[in-house]
Amino acid sequence: MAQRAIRECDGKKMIARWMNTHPRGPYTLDDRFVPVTPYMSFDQQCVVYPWLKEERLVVKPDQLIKRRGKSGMLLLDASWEEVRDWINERMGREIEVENVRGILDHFIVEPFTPHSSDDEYYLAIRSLREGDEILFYHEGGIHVGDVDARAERLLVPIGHIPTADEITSKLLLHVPEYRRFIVAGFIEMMFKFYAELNYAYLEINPFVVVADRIVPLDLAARIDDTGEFESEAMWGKIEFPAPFGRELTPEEKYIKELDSQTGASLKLTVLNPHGRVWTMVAGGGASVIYADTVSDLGFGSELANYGEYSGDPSEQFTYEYARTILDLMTREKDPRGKVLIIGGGDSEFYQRRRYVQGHCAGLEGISNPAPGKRSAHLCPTWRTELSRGVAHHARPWSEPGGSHRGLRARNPHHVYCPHGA
Amino acid sequence: MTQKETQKAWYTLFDRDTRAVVYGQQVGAVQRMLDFDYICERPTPSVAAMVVPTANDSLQKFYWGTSEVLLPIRHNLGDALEKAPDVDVLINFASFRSAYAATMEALQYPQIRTIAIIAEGIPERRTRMIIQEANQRGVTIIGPATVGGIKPGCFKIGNTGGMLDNIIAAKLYRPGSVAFVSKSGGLSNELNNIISRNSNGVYEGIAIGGDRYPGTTFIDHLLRYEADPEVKILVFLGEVGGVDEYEVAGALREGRITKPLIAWCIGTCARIFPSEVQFGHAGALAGGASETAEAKNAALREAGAIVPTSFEEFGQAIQRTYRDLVDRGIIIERPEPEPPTIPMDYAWAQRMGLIRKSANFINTVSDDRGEELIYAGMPITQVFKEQIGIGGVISLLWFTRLLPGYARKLIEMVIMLTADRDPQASGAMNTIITPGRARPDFVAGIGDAHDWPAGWRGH
Repeated sequence: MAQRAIRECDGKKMIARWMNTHPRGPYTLDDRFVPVTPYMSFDQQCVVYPWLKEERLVVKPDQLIKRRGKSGMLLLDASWEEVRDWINERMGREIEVENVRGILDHFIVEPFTPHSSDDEYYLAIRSLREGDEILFYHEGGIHVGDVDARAERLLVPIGHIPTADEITSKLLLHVPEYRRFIVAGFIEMMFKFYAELNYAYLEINPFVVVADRIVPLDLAARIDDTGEFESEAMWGKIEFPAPFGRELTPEEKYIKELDSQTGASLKLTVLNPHGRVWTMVAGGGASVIYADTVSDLGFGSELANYGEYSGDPSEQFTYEYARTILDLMTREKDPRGKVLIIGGGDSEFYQRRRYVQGHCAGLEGISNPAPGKRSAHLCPTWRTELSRGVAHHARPWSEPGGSHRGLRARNPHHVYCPHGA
Repeated sequence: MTQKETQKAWYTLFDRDTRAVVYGQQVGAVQRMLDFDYICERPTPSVAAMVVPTANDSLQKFYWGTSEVLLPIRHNLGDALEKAPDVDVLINFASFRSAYAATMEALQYPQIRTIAIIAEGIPERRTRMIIQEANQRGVTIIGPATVGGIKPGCFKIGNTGGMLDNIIAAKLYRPGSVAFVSKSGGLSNELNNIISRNSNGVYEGIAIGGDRYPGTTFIDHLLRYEADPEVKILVFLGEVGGVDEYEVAGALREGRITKPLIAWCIGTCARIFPSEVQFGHAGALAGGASETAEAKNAALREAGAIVPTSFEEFGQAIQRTYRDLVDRGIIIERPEPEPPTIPMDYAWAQRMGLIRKSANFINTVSDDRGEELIYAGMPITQVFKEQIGIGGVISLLWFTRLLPGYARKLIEMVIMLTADRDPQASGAMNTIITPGRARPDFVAGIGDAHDWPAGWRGH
């Protein structure tokens, strides 16, 4: 559980939803936009959003890609047909952005808003320990430059809402006077939105002002996913996409899903599916030390996964977690063998037995695959140089021998228990 | 971190007389605290009461060594505090949903000096509101998302320190000279072990929790340790993500920390990862070059901390520093007291195969002792998965085995026929099934199953 990035579309949807339940300020907010995914029919969208055929449009990918304008991933002032062709050309294609390769599959289409660069403003709100900081710069858009150095700032202590006057006097000195009222009203609203919906970061760069209309052109945001129980209704149905080029594997998705079903914590990131060192470690801190140690020993390239489980997951969840890792590990045979490190810090003491039981069940499931399922094997290895090195250095982190009894008794493969029984 | 005016020094959160209220139905944690108190030879239990908002005022039995004591369970926090004016610590086990409200309520009572928040998953905005309120009132917050902390010989928060055998092994029943602060609860336990193996032991250890906004940060506790004359060595375990570690480096440079400080930041593996990875703790994600573990380790080393080359060498670094202070006469080694004996817990002893006791109660049909309900040997998930139906469930519960399909079907037909609760229909049916024992309705009829003719129960 942590701060997680959301799609531009979801962010804009939330703003529209929230604005509809709050008194509007002295401006109108353009909240027209359409998401495009592989599962949507263009014709249907046109029926739902008739303005698509009437307006000039903008289209860009909606996949947490930064600086889309600079890398040419943006089509401006286009007709619906042009937009459709542009998307069709790119949908499902792999592209490279700043050395990361990924597949394009989410786009956002919006009306094109003609404006001059004087109309573009930069706004960001970020969370700090002592409060929320508003950053504003009167020259927004792609030329905003080093925001940290240039932006005007207003730190709002937790529990406070800045008044329009405060915003005007602290942030809007370089905004033409006739616009200050509108812009201050918009920032005030966005701040309330940010605070009420458990946002952790919000950047609108730029938003443009045309007459009394405000259009947020580009939006990037992170929300604090622990706020779900408070903000669920306003968030709507959202997903947290992985960073571009780091789409989740089905197994990672599955563990994420399990994680969301329990108050306990279950994390899995596959780093290298061909790696020979796999870890199944209890504890958010201990798991990092295992990964550090593997990397220190020079086996970083062999480290297959990072993961941890903690906070008392049930036996069933632990079983599913163990099964997933064992399944991934045994997909491919390596003549040099593979290593699975099961361990954890001591604080999980009261669950130790349960963990080991979960592990055992996982091991059994793999050793005796159900009929019709792909036969799997665990490489009985700890003997190679690699495994000895890793196992030895994992020493202080293994659970004392007693709790391994179950593993020894039931698992046909070589188990190395550093503490001994 | 400001502190209230009390008789205790500002740097002292816990001593041998510290008393706490535990918020939440946490019988296990309270018993572990009392066990710790007992082997530390505390005069009184460290827990004055448990607050359980869903319960009425009552008493709960706990072991105190081999004898037993009664602790009050209170419905209301204010009531619990009023009746125990010596309490200045709240251990808040409320869930992530209610921890905020419970903490804010506790902050209204001036007797509270320290609050430990255990829950993980409190919205960051709520945590920051708690921090602001606590700062204004001079209350120390430990957590959220932590196991808590321990002061050997004095006081232990909740489940900190693990099982009693672990507490004995790490000599946490008496104070040493090394005080540490870490994020992770799991690692704080490892630190207990490492420190006890490489020095005269732990004086105090706090796990500030893995969230992005811990109520108190590393520096708050290190400055406390710096001020406490009993502390001779500081140990500090940071991690990748955030910038709190730089405050510690700053304090070293400015001379606000002068005692030997042994530090290490975990997460050095992040550099080999193909893209950024969210580690287990919510705050553990490198947002920039300065937030990496390497950069922090380098900064701490430069500021004068003792920084080993890997976590492996943490223990050796502690040992070298400790021996040096002993040689210089700064630490005077004391004779080791006899380790206390601990009464063995029944459930534990049974699990270890040391004792046995014949059962008080026998039930061969259903078993709900484990995590999963079992009907005559069949886990409830399998009952659903195999779609054995109501007929199957009744065959398991009443006949203690899974009857063949035709028999299960028959049972279901009977139920379908008698499902009408109307006394005439089902009463008549019951008269047929259980001759001479007509009951008014279906439920009562089913309840009479033991009277069903033998032919119905066989097969």
